Amino acid sequence: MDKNVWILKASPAVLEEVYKGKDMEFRDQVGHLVWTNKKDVPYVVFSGKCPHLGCGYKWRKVPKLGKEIFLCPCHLSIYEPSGKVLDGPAPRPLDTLPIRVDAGGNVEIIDMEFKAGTKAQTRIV
Amino acid sequence: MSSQPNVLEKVIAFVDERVGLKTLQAKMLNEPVPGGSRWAYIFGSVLLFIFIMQAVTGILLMFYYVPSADHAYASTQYIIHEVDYGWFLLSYHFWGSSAMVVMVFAHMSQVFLWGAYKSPREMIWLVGLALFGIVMGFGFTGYLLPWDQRAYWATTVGVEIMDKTPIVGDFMARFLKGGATPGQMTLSRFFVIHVMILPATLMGLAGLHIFLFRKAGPAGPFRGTPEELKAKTDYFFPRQIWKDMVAMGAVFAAICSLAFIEPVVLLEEATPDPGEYHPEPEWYFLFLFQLLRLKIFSGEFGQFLGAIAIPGAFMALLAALPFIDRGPERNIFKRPVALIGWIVVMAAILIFTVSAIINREFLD
Repeated sequence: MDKNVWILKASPAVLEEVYKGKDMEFRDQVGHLVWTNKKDVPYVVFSGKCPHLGCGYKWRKVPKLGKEIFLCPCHLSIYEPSGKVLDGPAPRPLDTLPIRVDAGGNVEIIDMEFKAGTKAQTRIV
Repeated sequence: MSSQPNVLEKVIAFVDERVGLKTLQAKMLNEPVPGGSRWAYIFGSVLLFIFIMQAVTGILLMFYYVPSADHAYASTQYIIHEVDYGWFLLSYHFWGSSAMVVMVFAHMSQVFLWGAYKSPREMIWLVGLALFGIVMGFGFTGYLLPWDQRAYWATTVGVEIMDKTPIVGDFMARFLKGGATPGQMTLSRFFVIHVMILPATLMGLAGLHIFLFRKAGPAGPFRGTPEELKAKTDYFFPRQIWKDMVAMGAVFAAICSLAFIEPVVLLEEATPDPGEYHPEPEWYFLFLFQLLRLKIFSGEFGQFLGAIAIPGAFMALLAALPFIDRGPERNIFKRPVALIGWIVVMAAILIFTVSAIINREFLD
């Protein structure tokens, strides 16, 4: 089966929130570095699996808040566009995935998946 | 007129001589019911009837259903749209599962309120609790089989909840999924559990449940002196059997009506993108689903508390009940803690279920 992901053309503010000024490293199960996301690449890709209990979350405009958010309809976890938990039961932010963007702007995603329901990220794929 | 026995009578006499049919029949039908037959005692028999009907409709569905990720959805659609009365079979099976859950709750409530779990019936209660788990397991595993969006997401979230069980959770979740993510192996495993493991376990445990029940005998009403109850004693046949059969007929008619009025309609085929569908489990798991939305059950520890610790502690309390509540008093109106406890649990389940339903409209 294919997997669900969310690809964001991120604003500088979102990029800053995601990367906190540093490149993001991805490691395999034994801790070897397998990929690095550069902090200045203007795309962010999140795994489509809610880090709470693995549900499929959605993109929602909330006129009341005057902003756009990710909402998980299962247990109502709400995330900022940067993946940070805004409200609800999720134990950690959305999982950012390793990506490569070519000169033509095509985003290539490296498949990774993390265990849901844990505070720390535990890679399962 | 000839006094010679006909062929059928000869066959019956032949079998009776070897297995003791008449003794068995007398044992089955002449069970004394202290205090007389009651409508309150129908639930166990009705559960057995619903299970038999689920087995019959399930077997008929298996003639057409293909348990593969590529064909499960198409074969279920085929059952609904092409097989003669296939839509009815599937809908009966679907509503039958809900009826089974309702009846399990009714049966457990009756036994609890009547204090029928008390000595010497502790083992009947314990086996009954295991059967409750099996019935919920049937609901959970059967849900995935049509392989539509509802099926996929309810299973995905359900398995993740199981994953939070200490020590064995990770193994159980990986075993059920058959890998890191839901797919063909998940469907195969759920299918085997649903059509082989659970029915075999249920039949064994139900047999044990009935054997233990017959061994201890019915508890009878919670009011009345032993002399009064003895004076009113009926036998299982004919009055209690009649009541059981009327109830079975009513349940059968109700399930058929629901299957006609609200036949099963599949959603889109399962994909990892829920699209506009808002995932949620079947109605009997909605209270747990809603419970996990509460702020107090957020974070890693919070979700363990809400998904595993509280339901686990509740089941452990139910299992320990006959050993904690050792008083001989069975009258529910003289057991205020039990009565208030039952009302609180039922009200909580109702409130959380209704909240989950109300919440639906705020998701769009």
